[in-house]
Amino acid sequence: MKRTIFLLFLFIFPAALFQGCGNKDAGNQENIVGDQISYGENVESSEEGTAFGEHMLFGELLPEEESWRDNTLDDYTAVMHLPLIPRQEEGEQGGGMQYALGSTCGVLLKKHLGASVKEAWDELKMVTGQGEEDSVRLAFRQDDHNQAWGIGSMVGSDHFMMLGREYVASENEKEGGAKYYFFEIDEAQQVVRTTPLDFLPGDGRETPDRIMTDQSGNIHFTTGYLGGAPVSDQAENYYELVSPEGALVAKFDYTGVTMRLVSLYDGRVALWSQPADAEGRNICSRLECMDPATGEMELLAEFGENAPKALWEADNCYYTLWDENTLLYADNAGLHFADLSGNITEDVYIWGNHGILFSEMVEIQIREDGGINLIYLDYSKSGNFLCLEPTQEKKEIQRIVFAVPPAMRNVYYPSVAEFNKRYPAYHIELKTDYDKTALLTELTAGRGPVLVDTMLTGFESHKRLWMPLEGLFAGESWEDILIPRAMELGEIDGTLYGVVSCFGLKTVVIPKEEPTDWDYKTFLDTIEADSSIEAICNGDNSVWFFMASFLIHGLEDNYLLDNGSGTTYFDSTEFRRALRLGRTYCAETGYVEAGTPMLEGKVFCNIINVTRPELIDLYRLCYGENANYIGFPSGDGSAHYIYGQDPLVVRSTATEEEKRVAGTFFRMLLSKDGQMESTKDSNFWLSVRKDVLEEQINQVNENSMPGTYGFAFITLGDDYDREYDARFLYDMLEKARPLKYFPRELNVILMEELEAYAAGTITEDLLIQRLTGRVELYLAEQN
Amino acid sequence: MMKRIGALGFAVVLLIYSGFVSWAAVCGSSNSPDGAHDFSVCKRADAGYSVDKGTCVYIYGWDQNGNPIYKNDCRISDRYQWCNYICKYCNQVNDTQGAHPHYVKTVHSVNHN
Repeated sequence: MKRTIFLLFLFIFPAALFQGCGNKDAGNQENIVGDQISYGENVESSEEGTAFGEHMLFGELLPEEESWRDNTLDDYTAVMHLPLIPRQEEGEQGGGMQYALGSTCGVLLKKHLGASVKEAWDELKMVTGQGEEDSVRLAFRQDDHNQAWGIGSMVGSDHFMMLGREYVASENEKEGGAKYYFFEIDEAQQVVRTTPLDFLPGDGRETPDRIMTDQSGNIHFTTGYLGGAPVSDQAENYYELVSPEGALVAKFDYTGVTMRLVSLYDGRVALWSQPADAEGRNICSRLECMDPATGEMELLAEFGENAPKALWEADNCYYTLWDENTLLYADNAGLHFADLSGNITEDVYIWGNHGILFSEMVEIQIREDGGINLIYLDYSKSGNFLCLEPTQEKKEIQRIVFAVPPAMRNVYYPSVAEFNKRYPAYHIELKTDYDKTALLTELTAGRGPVLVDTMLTGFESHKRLWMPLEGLFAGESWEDILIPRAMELGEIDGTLYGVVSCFGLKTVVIPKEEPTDWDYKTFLDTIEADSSIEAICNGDNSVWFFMASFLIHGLEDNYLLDNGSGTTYFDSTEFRRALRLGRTYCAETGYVEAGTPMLEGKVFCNIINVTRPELIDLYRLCYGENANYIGFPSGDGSAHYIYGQDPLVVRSTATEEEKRVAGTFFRMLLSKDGQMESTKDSNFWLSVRKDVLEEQINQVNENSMPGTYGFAFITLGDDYDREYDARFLYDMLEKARPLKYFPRELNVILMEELEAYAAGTITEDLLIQRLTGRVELYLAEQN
Repeated sequence: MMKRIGALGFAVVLLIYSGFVSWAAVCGSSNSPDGAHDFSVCKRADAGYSVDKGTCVYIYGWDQNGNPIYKNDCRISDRYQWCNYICKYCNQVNDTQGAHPHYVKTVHSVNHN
């Protein structure tokens, strides 16, 4: 039973997670709902699972509501939120796609391209505010004729204006070429009127692109290129208006200007435009409305340098008029009301509060009842229909704070957003402004955030502040899905306290074929035997760094002491030799570069980190395909090391409900989709999921820019080799040991004394005497 | 398939890498397990830039004769964001390597599969 729960989360449940939510009656939602039902059954299973006792603490899942609902955190609430995605046809390349809004629905026109025109078809995908969903093969299309080439909204109605195009062959140049016409379809996709556009030239350079019909029946459109030649130069970009009778009322040249059509609060349609300078920088934005009676444009709003950048500089800005004095505008944070100067007066709907991964607004329509319909594109550029209404009653919500460092926010945000969308009764709040001392004080007092990224606090040293994650993986065959070696990095003393979502590998490369293995002694022998070197390794060129990097791999594996007996080896010829080498090759000032100095024989070795697969290509290019990645010296030979991004933990005083939230969230974070979203951030390293790690390797391509501290960014171009990357990575992963350190207190002792020695303030003998005394005292206290 | 390592690519890497340059030896944060800075975290600046990669001409549909009909309203751009390496424990910005551009994504302005 427990296995079922876990597998559902890792395989089935995540498949639905990043696809949006909605009414379970909806057509395409059946799969999602099906998963929800499975999940619902799962909840019962988990309750049964609690009978096993404490082991199910983190295996118990949050109950999901019977039907999806939005939370009520904002002034507006979504009553419907559905993905607007076309059917996925195998082997299709290209194919146009356009969205439009009705008064109660959202639609998508998708041109499916088969191998030939006979196999091509036009799909109209529809979702409604009632959660109904349909995908229609447009019936008015007869084989290869009567195709739809574009679609636009008809404000205030569920009819749509579509674009038709016929090619007419003629020897007379003026009569031949493409002939265009608009045709209006009703709710049943029946054509109710046709408007020929005989005034348009037939060469394709002035083809209707964006189309919108106002409530008076005037058809507004912008033009672009649509034709038989694959031209890449500019089209002629006009804004044109056709009367309900089909007469061209006006035409304005906006060539080179970004344009979109927006519906206003009163059923009119306005032109939104965004001119750019010669360098392509946006310089302002304008909202203008044409008077169909006079053909003249009226300026409704204009924003430039003095206005918020979201209104004029951003590529994806979108606004319309809510009333004559109020803007309704969308930015990356959410939907807002603003005055006509662009100052926000009220937040309408904040994307992050509702689990929306917003990328771009496609269209907004203000309904007569005060509701708002919109279509937005998410992070993956997929369309989504959102139907908003004023929030009637604020419902209780359980808030859970997740403390993260600012740099890690985007790693976790997609999973947090999905959790918040999925569970409207709960809200995980990502907080990035914690002061570390205050955070630790709060946690020590049993308060503060429930979820903590231990990059903020440290992990092992604060074990008592964290709750063991018993049951998170209990009884599951998670080893098939996750990389055990990586997940074990979340353990303290053999018990899982933290969830590690990504990891890195660390090793040493030398410029020679021999040796291929070394322990501490042979490592020092090899340095001694190399008379050409000027430094030992890249990076911080200090005695302490040399010792900490190469001679210390935790209390149980190091060259300086025996933790079991509590004795130290400082007063020995071995330590004096290491000290001498450090003193010879590690100047306290200056830093050693990676790459060239080692290849020229001046540096003994380089330490490298593998946190993304493309870095392996960078190292291959730098050090050569057959470089000797010998690894670090250790007590029993060469070793590569694995280390995790800092584990996520749960506050030890979390309530039962908070534990369920944490357990559910961790599973979402470790799901395939959750991990895939995280990989988009540069601070996410190698995934702990086997399938996602493989995807990461497969995503290395000519555009990859491997970047790590110490190396400049390059673009790989043709110099990538996924097979080499995979072989290198999996080989190192198989051999890698967990990276261990001395306890912080011991490191501080070493640092202080070695710095004093290097600065010449104490002699070698005094150094050894002080190190022996302080370190043995520490060991005695600990043992 | 193993790819040839271009001599040019190798030379480029050697020429342009900027190397480990400077960091204070001791990290002030008690979170650091070994007391050293760990400049493995990229802190993104608000600023970034786009590189216009030109027009993406794509097949919008087949006409009634089976000929491809193209559209050229899609522009491709590579998005970059300026980043600095910071110590993951104490947030100290590494000021020697300087800000580096971080490739974020390649964007097609129009979704056409």
